[in-house]
Amino acid sequence: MLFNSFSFLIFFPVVTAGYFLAPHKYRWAFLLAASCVFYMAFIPYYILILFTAIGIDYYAGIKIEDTEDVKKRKTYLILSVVSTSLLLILFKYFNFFNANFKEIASFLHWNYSIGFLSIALPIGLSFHTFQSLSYVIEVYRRKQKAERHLGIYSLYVMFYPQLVAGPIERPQNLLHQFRERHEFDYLRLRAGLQRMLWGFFKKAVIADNLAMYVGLVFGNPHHYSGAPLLLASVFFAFQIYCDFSGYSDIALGSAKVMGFDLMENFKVPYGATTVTEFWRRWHISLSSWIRDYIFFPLSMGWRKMGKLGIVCATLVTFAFAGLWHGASWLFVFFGLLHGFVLSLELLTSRWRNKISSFFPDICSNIFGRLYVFSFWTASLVFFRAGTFADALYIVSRFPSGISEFGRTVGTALFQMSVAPFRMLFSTLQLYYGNLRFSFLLGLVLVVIVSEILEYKIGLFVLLNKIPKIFRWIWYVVLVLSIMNLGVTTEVLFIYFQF
Amino acid sequence: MKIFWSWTVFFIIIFLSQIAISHFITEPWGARTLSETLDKGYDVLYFGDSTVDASADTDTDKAPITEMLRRLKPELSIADLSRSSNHLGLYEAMVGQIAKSGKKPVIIIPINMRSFSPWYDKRPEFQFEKEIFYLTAPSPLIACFYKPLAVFRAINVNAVTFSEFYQTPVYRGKKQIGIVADFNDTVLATTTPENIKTSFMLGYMFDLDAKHRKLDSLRNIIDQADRSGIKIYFYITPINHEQGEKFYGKEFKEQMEKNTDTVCAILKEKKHSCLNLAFSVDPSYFQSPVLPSEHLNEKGRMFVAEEVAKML
Repeated sequence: MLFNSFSFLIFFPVVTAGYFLAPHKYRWAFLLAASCVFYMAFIPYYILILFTAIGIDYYAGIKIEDTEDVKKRKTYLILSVVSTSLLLILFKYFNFFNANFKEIASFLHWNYSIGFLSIALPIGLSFHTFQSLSYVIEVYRRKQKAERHLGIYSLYVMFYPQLVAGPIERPQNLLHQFRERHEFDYLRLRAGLQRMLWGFFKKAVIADNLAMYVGLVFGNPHHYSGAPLLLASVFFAFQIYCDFSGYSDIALGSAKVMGFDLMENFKVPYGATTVTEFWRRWHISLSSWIRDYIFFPLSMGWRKMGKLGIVCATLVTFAFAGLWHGASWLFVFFGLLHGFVLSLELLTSRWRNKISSFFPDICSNIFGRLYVFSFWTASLVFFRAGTFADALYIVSRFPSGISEFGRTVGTALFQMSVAPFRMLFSTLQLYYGNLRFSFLLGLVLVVIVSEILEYKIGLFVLLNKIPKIFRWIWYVVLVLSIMNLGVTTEVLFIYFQF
Repeated sequence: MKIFWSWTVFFIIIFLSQIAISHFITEPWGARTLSETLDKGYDVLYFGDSTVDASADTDTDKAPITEMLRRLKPELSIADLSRSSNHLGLYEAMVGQIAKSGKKPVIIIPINMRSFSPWYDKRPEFQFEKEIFYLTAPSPLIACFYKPLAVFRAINVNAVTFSEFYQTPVYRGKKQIGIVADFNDTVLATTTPENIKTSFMLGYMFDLDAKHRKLDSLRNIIDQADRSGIKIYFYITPINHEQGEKFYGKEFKEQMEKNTDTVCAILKEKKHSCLNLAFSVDPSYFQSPVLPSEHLNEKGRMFVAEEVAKML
């Protein structure tokens, strides 16, 4: 079931009402049943895969806790990790690895006859697999007690707000919440609905409208010159942010309404001044997961290599992160690119701090944000483009795009001296075709302003400080915007494909 | 109670605002124009696309075909319901709405052969889902909520995305020669002989299947009109066929004849006459004597007006 669907608009109030009406003793069962219904709206029988993964990790967690034998504990951990990961590898990576083995076999003139699987990827597999792995590892590390209640553990994996696209929760944060009594609280309801509304706006209005232009250009990149390619790349940076953070807002908001606090997944990522900082603000649940379960173990294991060890650990971690996003060398390259830049930042941190000390903070911050945004936008081209060749073509056109765009804006600004201000947008709109360019630009400005407000004072803090009448006007504006400016063609949440 | 009333007022404001927005701001052309036209009780409703009113720079008389027809038939009140890119799918919805109204104007429907080509048929901006929804919705109130229902996928809008459009196969006769993405709009907009030749092929030289969805619309239009006692006249709009034959020889004429015969066969099957003007004029009747456009100049529009007047 998609969040931006009519069925969810019915599902959510029914489930929320049912949750509060149900006796506290049975609320976990009610939520679990609702989460099953939510998941089965996609491919119903895939729930068996989910149950299999739940069964394996539930059993492993108990066995790990019940034994003090180090070898046995490790065995159960490995069994759990391997079998859970195998599910992910089978559905998501089998064809990718198979294609690569086929290429190698062909090169070596070996006979290789294993065919490809034509099975759909279970929705949310990457997310709930990582969430399950996190549980087992934390039990092994003795940082989390094994959950003995199968129903509660199942709900931990299947809790519908975060089931299909995160946040990837940690057991310490989420498990205990299913046992807590949550009474209906109007202020909490309001906070949750505010968050959901903003999430819907970001997804349905901003992300989906930007997606139309991005899809047009990225669908046929060789038909476009530098400026549209650059513009589409910039728009994609905003699209993916609004799409994913919008989804997270809806997830966090719908959980909050019922009294559950999920972890924040984004913290104004485009306010980061280094790529290192960016990854502490972007998709925080994933970046913290790979930091805790891949980077730290690797860097500890390679600590004797000094900085080289950290660099290697960073590259491996980000290659893994790239691969998590998709079964393609493009995604691996995307990850490695980030790993490389992070390593560079690590190795040059002292010099950079020295250089930036010569400049006022505001200059360093502006430069830093431009640097991070530019790098992120360029790296996203490899994320979005269909092929490596297309991605390289697009990125190679950025310099000409910048000068082309600059000339257009310059011409328009010059004409503004004799023409009305609207000439600026008319000129740009004509240049980029009948795609409501000024509207798309307006959407980007909305994102920038909201992010600045979030960074400075907190968007919802501000919202709850303004007089009630303006707050309700804001709600009316958002709802009507979603209803009338949303896109009517199918634009999936980007992270659903992972 | 205060909270209850706050929420109630909120939802009432949303409801009324949505009705206002959909009526005053976003109501689509077809629904608004048709209802206003029906209220005025015209004798003749002239549907059509840009072939009705496009003119050439050299025209002294830039009147659309409808105006020329009014001069020829002053005893009839004629409403112009043409708009660029309109097609049989939209006309089907419009005729349905007219049939529901109980009114019985005479309807004239030009059939543009280019509208059947994949290049046009699958173009996202020519789907007019919103117009069709407004015209076919069970009640005006539901129509007001078209957009939110579509945004939240409560109704299947069935729009064609640009990526789907670019993957649409393109044919020469029955043979697929590529996909839309292979023929770049921007490139084809430049009028080199090669581009003009390609444009003729894209616009006309597909093999029209009798099961084409727009031909289904044609059948439905006739059935609805017949059930409601509404008189409809059809004509096939002129094509710059001599120019097409210059590029493709006999192949162009034969394919065009086959396609127009397919259309006429349906009309005849439904006991309607088929005024086939596709091959009636030479290049001097067109806005451009060279380009594959059905847009007519003054002489061409007057010719069509006279032929339509003879039908009425």
